[in-house]
Amino acid sequence: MRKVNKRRYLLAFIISAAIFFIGFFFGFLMDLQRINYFQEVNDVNQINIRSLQLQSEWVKSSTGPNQCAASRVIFNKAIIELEQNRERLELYDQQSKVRSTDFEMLKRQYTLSQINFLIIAKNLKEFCPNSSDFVTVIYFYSDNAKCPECADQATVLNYYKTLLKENLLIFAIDEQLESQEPIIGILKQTYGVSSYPTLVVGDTVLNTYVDKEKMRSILCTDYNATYPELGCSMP
Amino acid sequence: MIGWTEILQNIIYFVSLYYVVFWLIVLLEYEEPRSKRLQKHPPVTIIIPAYNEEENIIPTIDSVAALQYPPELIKVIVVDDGSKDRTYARAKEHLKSIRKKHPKITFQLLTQKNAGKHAAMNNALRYTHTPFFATLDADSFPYRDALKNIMAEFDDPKIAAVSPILKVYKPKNAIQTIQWLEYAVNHFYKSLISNVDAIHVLPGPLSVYRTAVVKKLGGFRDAHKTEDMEIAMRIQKADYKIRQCNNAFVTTKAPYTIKSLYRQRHRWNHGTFKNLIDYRKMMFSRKYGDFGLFQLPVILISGIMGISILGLILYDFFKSIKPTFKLIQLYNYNIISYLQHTEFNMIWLDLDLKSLVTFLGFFIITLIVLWLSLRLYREKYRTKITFSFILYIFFYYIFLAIVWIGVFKDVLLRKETGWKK
Repeated sequence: MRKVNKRRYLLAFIISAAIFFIGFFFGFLMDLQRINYFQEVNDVNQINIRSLQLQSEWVKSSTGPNQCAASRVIFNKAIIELEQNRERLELYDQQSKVRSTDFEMLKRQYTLSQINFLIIAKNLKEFCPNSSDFVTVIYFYSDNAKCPECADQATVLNYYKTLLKENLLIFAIDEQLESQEPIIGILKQTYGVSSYPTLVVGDTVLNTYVDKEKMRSILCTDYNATYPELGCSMP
Repeated sequence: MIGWTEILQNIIYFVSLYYVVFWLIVLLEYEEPRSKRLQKHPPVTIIIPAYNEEENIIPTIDSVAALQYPPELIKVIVVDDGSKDRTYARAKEHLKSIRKKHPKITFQLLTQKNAGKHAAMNNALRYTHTPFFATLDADSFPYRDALKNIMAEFDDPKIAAVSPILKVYKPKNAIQTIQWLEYAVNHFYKSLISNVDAIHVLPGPLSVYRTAVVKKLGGFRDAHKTEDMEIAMRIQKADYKIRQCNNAFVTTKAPYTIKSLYRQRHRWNHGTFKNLIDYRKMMFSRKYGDFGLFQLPVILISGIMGISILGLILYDFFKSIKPTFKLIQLYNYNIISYLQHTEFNMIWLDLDLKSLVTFLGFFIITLIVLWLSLRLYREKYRTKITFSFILYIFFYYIFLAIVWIGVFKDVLLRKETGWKK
């Protein structure tokens, strides 16, 4: 029987476990940093929403082109950041292993911000039609098990977002948050959402997957101006 | 929620980390051995088994004749294993002239029907009467002091075999340079396992054996065309020791094309796997110390881990590029248009810290191991090998994983492999 140095095996295990737990600890710290980042983002969103709501009220009471333009500048910036941060939040939520509850909470806050922005967008469209050539898309989605086509639908939307930038406003609503956030249920009822993906493009409700070509034709009819990127055929 | 891929990833990372830490402890525990001096030169027989080696047989014989060792104590037996080319004729012709040049060295030429390398060596063993013998592949060339340095390692009667450090002979392309790097790293690793008596293979180029031990154990076996591994397993099983001599170098020719490399590695890994099955009782057995508890499981797990890592890399890669690929598809594969329209908005928090730290950790470990390996090799890093170095780090292990997949497939289909490189 040969001698086995048990101490070496044990020491290797202890050191490996320690390194591994340090890794988990850093992952935890990273999650905390990300949560802090989104809490700051949410604070900014709340200020933007408050600011835009005030401007919206002002625009409603005294319509004028200058006020509309001013609202649009803040709105454009905020809406682009909102979409970028939504994607980021989804990514962080997928990567997070230890703070998923916090990310759920952040997603709720985020959904509320989006709905706020949606209301502001509708107001802008109504009261500042000349400086609001954008189309709103409310995108109801679910997880892969419930909605295998949602990943492809997101890609189609992402494609048009990269083409049209601030002229296409996408509000992505995760139906899985419905149990925590009743407003999602109200929106679903309003638009008659029963399956996923469902898109509300402007006022048109589409309870099915919308491919690139179909989306192009819908968007082409919804814009006041023409966008060469869209490649709409002239009537 | 943690998915099955992440559970698998974490297990693989932990096991890999454990191995690294274990060997790091071994590295720190053992002092660098001082070069031993050979007090008395014992007689040695050098067996050169050859099959279709008409190009290499003459330089190999010449390299043996040039060894710094008392010529009267060297006997060289060249065994032609029924070659289809002019190996036998060339060896015969060359031995005539070399006998005149080195009259004190005893040369013998044997020929047999093609029966495999193990049979060629057993044939030569019948004519071996020296206390030690070496095997030397007919495409390998020892440094002049290699044999002398190896013989100095036999300072303990329990040491049954000593192997040298191999280097790829004059690498000519990236494939051979990658193997040069691989051999360096493998021999560094072997220098560590030598410290804990866990060497599992005695390569053909100039491994030296105690003749009595090998004869007692019954000589070489076919062993799925990996007799060099099987004899090491039997030596370990019989409770003898195997060492690596860190100041004995032998150059050996390596495959030049990816196809020949695949064939060679397939043969090696196939034989390794089959031998592990044959000697499964030694695995995880405390009776065989670190060899049974650590080294044999490492060999088995490294193959499985190689395949798992390849699977995980491909899974992660396709998963990560799928949305981008689909987006580019919508751009009708016009990547320029895609890049023109896409805004890249990254912040440091977007980094996948786990993947990044894991990658950096393994990358740094690889660099340290390479530095230690080159130090053992007594070589310096040359910028001209950078391309091969990058291929070695990022792609070579994927290639080895593919080889393992082929091996497992063949084991399941019960296919056997040929012995020739």
